[in-house]
Amino acid sequence: MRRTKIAVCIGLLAAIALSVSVVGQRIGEGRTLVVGIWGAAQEELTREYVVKPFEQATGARVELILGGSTDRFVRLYAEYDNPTMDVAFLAYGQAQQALKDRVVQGPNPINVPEWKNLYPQAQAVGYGVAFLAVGLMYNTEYVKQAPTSWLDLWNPAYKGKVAPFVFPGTQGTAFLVMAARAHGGDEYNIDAGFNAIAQLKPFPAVLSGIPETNLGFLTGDIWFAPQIHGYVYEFKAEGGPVDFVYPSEGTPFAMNVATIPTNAKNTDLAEIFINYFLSPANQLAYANRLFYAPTNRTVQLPPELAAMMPYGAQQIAELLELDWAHITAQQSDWADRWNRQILEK
Amino acid sequence: MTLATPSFVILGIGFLAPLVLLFLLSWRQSVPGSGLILDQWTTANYTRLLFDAYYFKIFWRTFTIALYATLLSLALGYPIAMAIARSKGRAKAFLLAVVLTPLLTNVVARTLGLMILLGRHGPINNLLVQLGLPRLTLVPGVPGIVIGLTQVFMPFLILSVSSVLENIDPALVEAARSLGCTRFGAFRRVVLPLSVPGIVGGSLFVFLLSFSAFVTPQLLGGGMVVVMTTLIRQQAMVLLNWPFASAVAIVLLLVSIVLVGTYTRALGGAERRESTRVAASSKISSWGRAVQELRRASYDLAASLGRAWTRLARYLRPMRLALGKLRFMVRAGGWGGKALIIAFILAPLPIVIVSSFSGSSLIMFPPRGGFSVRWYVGLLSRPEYIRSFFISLQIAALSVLIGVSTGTLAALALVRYRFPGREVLRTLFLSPLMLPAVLVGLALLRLLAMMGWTATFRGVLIGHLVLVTAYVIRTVSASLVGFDRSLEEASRNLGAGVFRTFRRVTFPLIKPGLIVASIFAFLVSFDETTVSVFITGPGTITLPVRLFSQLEYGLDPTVTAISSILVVIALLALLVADRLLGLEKFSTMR
Repeated sequence: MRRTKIAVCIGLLAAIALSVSVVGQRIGEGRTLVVGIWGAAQEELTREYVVKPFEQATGARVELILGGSTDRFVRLYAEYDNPTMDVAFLAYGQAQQALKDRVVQGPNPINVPEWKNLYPQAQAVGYGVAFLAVGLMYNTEYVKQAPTSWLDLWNPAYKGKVAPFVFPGTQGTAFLVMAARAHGGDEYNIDAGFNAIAQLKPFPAVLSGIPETNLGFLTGDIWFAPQIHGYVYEFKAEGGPVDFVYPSEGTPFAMNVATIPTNAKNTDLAEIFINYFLSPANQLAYANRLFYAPTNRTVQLPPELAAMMPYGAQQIAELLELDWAHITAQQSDWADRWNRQILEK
Repeated sequence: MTLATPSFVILGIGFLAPLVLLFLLSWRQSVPGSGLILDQWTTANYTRLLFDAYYFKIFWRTFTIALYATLLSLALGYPIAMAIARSKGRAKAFLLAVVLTPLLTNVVARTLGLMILLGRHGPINNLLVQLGLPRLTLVPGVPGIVIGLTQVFMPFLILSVSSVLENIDPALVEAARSLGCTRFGAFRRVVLPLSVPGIVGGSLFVFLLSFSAFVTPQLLGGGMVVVMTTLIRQQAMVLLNWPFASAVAIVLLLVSIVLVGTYTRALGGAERRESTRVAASSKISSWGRAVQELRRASYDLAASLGRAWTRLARYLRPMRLALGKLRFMVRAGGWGGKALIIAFILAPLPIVIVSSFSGSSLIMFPPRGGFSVRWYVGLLSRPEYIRSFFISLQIAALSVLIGVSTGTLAALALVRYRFPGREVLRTLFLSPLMLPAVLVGLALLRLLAMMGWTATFRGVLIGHLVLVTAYVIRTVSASLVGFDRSLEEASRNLGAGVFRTFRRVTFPLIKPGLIVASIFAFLVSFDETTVSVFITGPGTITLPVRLFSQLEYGLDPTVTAISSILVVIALLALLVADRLLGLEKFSTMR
């Protein structure tokens, strides 16, 4: 009798010890999740609102590799069998192509419960993390009358002050298509776009980065550029002499997307990470700091903040959805034409 | 030939194998907009490239930009190299420090400094406006790129030339002078021809580096000047058309080999003759023969330079005016001219340092938002930068150790022994510098991914070693060429063994070359960006890669703050080296 009691006690203790160790043995203990993402403010936000809770919950360590999405897009293909990254953040067009080529995984709503709360546009590419509007950035110090249309850029008074973005790229591609649309063409009749942009020469610069863009506006060399709304408001908040408009012909829609490479080594952890990324806490922080529009329907924004981004189903639907599949297929030819007609004198 | 084996192994893994991958890729077809590659063979990439005048135009533009930068480096760098070779003690230490310090700052930061300096609202233009002169549009544009490339790469030429000038026996100049030569005559007939190996090596470095530079043309061209590297990057990185990019790379490599071959043949006549002479005769040649030899070499040099000059004259007109002025200045001003050149070498540093104390997140000069140390304080909370610094340091140190020892052996084999395929091997070792780095990186990434070596330390090291070896072999070869082998024979005759002879005779004689080679190896590795972007990963991200990745989005004064810290570290290191060893001893030989 006594012996059984002791046995039971020992058994109980063992069970507790075991259960404690099971509880303590978190899923990511001793593992490292490699995440490729943009630097600067995005890095700070991600560390605070995603990495921290993720590491606490899983015990895994997160290694951030910072850089532009182009480098990540190339890497996804180049190291398809043996990817370095477990999560790669891509631009909209890149994510669509990567998904189509199956170098990244489709969404997994079971392991990423926040997926159900996303707007359909964000669900369509896997895990859309932020909605972006590609509109018009203008210099409030030199341009007294706020522009209302893409056509305003062709005003002779602004000659030499309009800086296009490099093609292909989120801003550059949107600008080419909108230039075509403003001049009677569209993505299926792109001639008008090339001819119109060529008329804007000489350019103060052909932009490829955010810092150089802001510098150009600050020195007064640049008065207009196509730009993503968030960058403009971020610079404006820092005191930059700039503002953003949604032109009357339409404002193309873009998105930042989180992807998991097809052969990722830590898919389970990657899904947990992305779930944190899509959480209202992180999305709200992004909206507050970078004015990135939340893709999660449950995020509530104060009205003054909501006014600075495409927020809510109706406003998102008002943005222009370009035919990215068609554009991507033409991209190579257009880049060739861009080099010859736009960049050469 | 066995001496070259270690270097050859490095070359095989780090360059030849990736090259084979590229070659195979170049006959494939890509899917537009995607990184997928179709499983069928095609010649379309080559026909597209070869039958389109546009690509030739881009090639020609890149070529002329690199050529201008090389000529400008030669015109500005040679006097400084002479000053380094001639000066002693403190002065020499100072000059070496001046040349080396900017090289230790990151290329992104240095180019940003130049961008501000030459920009429409930069100090130079502001000065011009205050003097009532019109603004110059140097940036964005080709002139800015040429100036930038010169500024960034000129130290390679200076060190190359000075390491060879150090080897010239001052008695030769004295002999020429006592035989009635003027000072300039002695320079033209003795010093210049004898420095040809240094000129060949140094100008090759500047040319190849300029030809395959990406950061400088991209930033200083304002995104509007298409050169081969920007075109290749667009094809390989943005459009993912690897087959076409590979075809461009293969053709470019072949063209570079022909160009470099012609160049070394034309200019390096003296070099090769010298090596033949040294190898063939164990006797010290008579003065008469030597002078004849030198004269012939100098004519060779003058004639080929002249030919190149006239051919390029019409493209060079604006540049020539500037060059003429500069040359006049150098000649007339003496130290004044040299002071100006030194100012040019150091010019980006003050801008980099001052802008690192900016209160705003934009890199500007003068900085906006008042004085602030926030970017330095911010670094404290970012241990990854410190980690990357040590990774870079480690890889650079290993590159020096392995690269210089294996490269020196290979250089010995290439200069001393004649064996079948020697010329081929010589070109092969230099060819990693001729292939655009973007594609070296991409091909290496694919190879390392196959081997499971992506983002590993050894993978990164091999990538760096391939580049480093090219510099080492070239530099050490140059110092071996002017080497009198009878000295070694004398040592052997006097009873010294092979190793003792190497330690007591060969090593001291090639020491300046070895030191310069080590400096190159360190700098090349420490600042390498384009290849490393591909092959680094978690745990192996080097400092330049970290800074480069900020360029597109997060570029802020962190970059200039880090560069400023690097300048301080570099100065401290030079100071310590000076106190412990005497900096001037770094390049003295006799």
